Amino acid sequence: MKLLPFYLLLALSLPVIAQSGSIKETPSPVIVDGILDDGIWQTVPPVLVNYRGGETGKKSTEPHMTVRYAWDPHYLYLAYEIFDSNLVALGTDTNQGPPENLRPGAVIFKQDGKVDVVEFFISFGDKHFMWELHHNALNQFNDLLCIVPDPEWPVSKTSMAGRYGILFNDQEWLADDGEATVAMAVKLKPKADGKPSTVNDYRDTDTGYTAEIRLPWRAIGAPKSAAPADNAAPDWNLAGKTVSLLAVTQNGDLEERYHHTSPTRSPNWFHKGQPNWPVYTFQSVAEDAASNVVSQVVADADAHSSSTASVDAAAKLGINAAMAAATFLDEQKPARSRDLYEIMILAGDSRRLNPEVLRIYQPEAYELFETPEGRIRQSQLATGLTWKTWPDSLPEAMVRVAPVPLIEWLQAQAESPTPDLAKLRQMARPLGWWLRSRNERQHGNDFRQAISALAKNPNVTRDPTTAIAILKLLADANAESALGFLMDQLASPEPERRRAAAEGLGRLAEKSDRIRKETHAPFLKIMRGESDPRVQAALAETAEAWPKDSEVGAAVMQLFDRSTDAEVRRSILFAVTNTQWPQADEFIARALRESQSGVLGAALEAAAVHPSPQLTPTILKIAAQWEEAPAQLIDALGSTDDPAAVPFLLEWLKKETNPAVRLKLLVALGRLPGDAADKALKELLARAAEPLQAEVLCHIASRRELPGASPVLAALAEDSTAPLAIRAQAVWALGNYRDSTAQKSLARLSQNPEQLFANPENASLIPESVEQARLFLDLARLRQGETALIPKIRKDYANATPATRVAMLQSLAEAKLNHPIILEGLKSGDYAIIQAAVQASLASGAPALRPSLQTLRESPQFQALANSGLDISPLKRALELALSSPSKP
Amino acid sequence: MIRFLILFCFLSSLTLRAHESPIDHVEREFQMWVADGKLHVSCRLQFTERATLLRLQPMDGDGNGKISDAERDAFFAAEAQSIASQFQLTLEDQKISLQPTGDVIRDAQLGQTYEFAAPLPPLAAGSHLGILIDGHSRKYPGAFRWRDAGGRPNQIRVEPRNPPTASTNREHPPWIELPFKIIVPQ
Repeated sequence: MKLLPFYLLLALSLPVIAQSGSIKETPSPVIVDGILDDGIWQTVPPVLVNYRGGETGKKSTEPHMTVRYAWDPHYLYLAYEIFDSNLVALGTDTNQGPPENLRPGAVIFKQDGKVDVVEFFISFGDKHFMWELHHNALNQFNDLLCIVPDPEWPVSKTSMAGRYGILFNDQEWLADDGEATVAMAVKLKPKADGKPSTVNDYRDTDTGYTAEIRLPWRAIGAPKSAAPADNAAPDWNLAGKTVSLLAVTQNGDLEERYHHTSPTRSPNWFHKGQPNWPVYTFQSVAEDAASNVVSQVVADADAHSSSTASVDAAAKLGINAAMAAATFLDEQKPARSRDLYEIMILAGDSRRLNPEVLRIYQPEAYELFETPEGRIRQSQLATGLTWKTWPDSLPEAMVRVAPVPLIEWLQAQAESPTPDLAKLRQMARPLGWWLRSRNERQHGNDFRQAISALAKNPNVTRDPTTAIAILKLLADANAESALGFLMDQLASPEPERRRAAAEGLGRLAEKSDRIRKETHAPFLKIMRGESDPRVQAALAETAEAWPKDSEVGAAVMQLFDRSTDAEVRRSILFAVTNTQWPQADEFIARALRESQSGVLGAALEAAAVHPSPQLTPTILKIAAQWEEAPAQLIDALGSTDDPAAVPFLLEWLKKETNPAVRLKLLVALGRLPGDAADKALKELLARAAEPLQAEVLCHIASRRELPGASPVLAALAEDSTAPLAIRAQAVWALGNYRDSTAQKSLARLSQNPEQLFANPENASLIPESVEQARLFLDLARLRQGETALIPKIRKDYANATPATRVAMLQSLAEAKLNHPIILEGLKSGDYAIIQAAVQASLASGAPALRPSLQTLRESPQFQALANSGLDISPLKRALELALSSPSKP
Repeated sequence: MIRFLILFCFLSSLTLRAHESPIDHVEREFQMWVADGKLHVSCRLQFTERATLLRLQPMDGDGNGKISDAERDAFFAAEAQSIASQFQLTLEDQKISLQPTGDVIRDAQLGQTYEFAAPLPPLAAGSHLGILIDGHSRKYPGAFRWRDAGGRPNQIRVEPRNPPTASTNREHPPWIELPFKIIVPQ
């Protein structure tokens, strides 16, 4: 038999739950004195105890009892009020409980006599085991552990089960749990004359009493998963857990003696009807707060005055707000539901977080997404999946907060002869984005399987639009098992299917050797045979998955020759830029001769990435034709490594007024070798008027030695009126010069750095820019060979701000120097420092750094970063390079 | 437009020092109030996800990959002490030492709210000028805002002297300074 999806089970099971509600957490302990004046009782609506015991679902009109519940990390609190004109309470004259907390017993039944008693039945979801409690107006109390065996249990046929099939363990009692003790109290309500009601005096007219009971969690058998994690903080966390709890009042004066709180219970022993007792969910203070905020969003939406601000404010409360939102969903109120799903979307973004981060910052979300119990709770958020029409925001909300029910829904569609194609398409986009962005943490495999199963259902893929959506989804999910479907689609007569399949293949192949190997030959064949330009462009992009394969390069080259479509040619050139095909030079040379719109720009971009002497004459020829400097041409010239490019850049520098373009031209000039470039850069440095340009030129001067530049750099470094950033850069650049001008300047500056790089007047701390300028002095001298400064630099590093540490490590990388601070940087807790330390390790090539680089790569923090979905590709690349590059002595 | 975009990307990639801090920024919210003869400061820090992830390792005292409640509490207690030690609080030229109080509250936005308090000398009716310098923000810069702690007119109130605003410059201010005044009613 096929199992019903969980969300459907939930929907079907809803009417079975007798009555449900929440039990609020009290922020401060309840004072158990029988007086219901504690703050929490003012916020909890009373539950009427008015269902007649001898019937099902019938209520009495007269009130007999109301009850309120609350909880905190130590106790379940029960508070009730009795309405009775003749209070009767009889004691058993026995005490029970631990020696230091004995409780006098209450009579609960008297043959031929009247007795009043209140009863509570408590079970944490078990219909066989439960606590039964009795309490009366004299504060007498019984607690007994009851067992209701199934008829097939052998014990049910023994004397222990008695006449009624129930084991009443009346010698068992609720144990105290350390400082958490069982307590109860009663307060008699005043009569009409203002005096307290009397107990066991039938001559007067009573009004009743109020009472409070507190029960330690361990005593009543709360779930272990709610138990304290360690003894240091013995707090129970019941938030999100449920309890079956039935309240009963027995009034000896009434014809119908019993009243209770279950609308669905059938007349029988209360113990035997546990599945029909009301079920309550424990709600934390935070959940309660979230519920209040969300109810305001609901009120606004219902009044047609939705506000993004109130949705955002609710979502900031996290997953509690999402859970609260679910309780207000209404298929008949689309505006309201839209806002509620928006809350879920925003709050559900946390599902992508590292589990430990989630557990620390949002334990409720951790519980929902990372624990089996929580995954069951997700169904409460997924009721909308069964709606006839989905609000636009529903699919994304389901992806984020209810992945388990969503996977079940996808599986159901995959097996359905009549899948809901419109909804599948609606779901595909947000789900694809979520998977493509590497946000999925818990259910990647399940999603892959469900999506692959969809691809196998012809009732899904027959429709072209849906098939294209599924193709994209397969790639987003990296569903390798659906490769067959994808390849079939590449042979489809419909170009849009082929295009989507080509894109999908590219994304699968770039991540998998196996797929590259398996699809290599068919891909080449398809590449050679494809005639539709849009598909050709997609195939060119797909070809990037084989970045060093000469056969693929040749096939792409053929396509380039065959196609005259600018879009196809641009795609091919972008692919050339991103690959190392041996035909690259040839491609670029041909493309540089193109005059098609956009093709030349793409070719120049490729030329900048793949510089080659063969290309230089053409690039220079192109440069000669341009009055104005396009960005790609500047880069291409800068990469030629040919002094012949210098005049073009200088010519453009003369004319160019845009500061950003001027900077780009300077950087390109800085890459070109030769005396002409040196001379030009030195002159530009001497007359640089614009601060950022001066800084860039100092930066260039720190990387390449510009003959005769040290006097200019020294003047800049010592000019107290110059901007600090330029002076610092000039100081560092001086380290690149061994002449006496540079050495003397550094010596002068080092004599009194506190004065030359003074702390601004009245500043209570040293600004980072001053700190860095001073430290560059030592680093520049180290660069000149003053190794005695190594210990001082290490000490300065320890006291420096994180940004200054980054600057120090970057300087070491630039000078290709090894220093102990690189090792310290590799152990840092700041991303930018780690990255700078890895770059410095790579530049220094010191073998001694290898073990630390290895340790970093295997460290939990690096693994957590790598799996976070955050972009750490620069760090990853640098780390791999540093580990694979040959060591330098 | 494309030219502009390419140039923008180029400028963003220039590895010049001493401008925008490369360190993951920390957003801050400050709240100040007076109660029980003490000046209370609440400081909410919001680290980036990346910085939060990297702080897991120092939190994991036994290095077993799981953060126990005790490890978590010890980490945040140490952080509170460290932040307190980087605050410089001056009230009418008198230096006052802030100490952490209570638990650090964590929230769904990866926020950490610390509370500090310092005993105040007896204050006469009127306005008393003070300044809070946040040395932690020198190391970990970022936007900040002052949140009004509320209070009735007949209560002692703490107000910013010059409502602080986030810097619109490319460079951050070197650290956060909160000039405030304590207003003691007649």
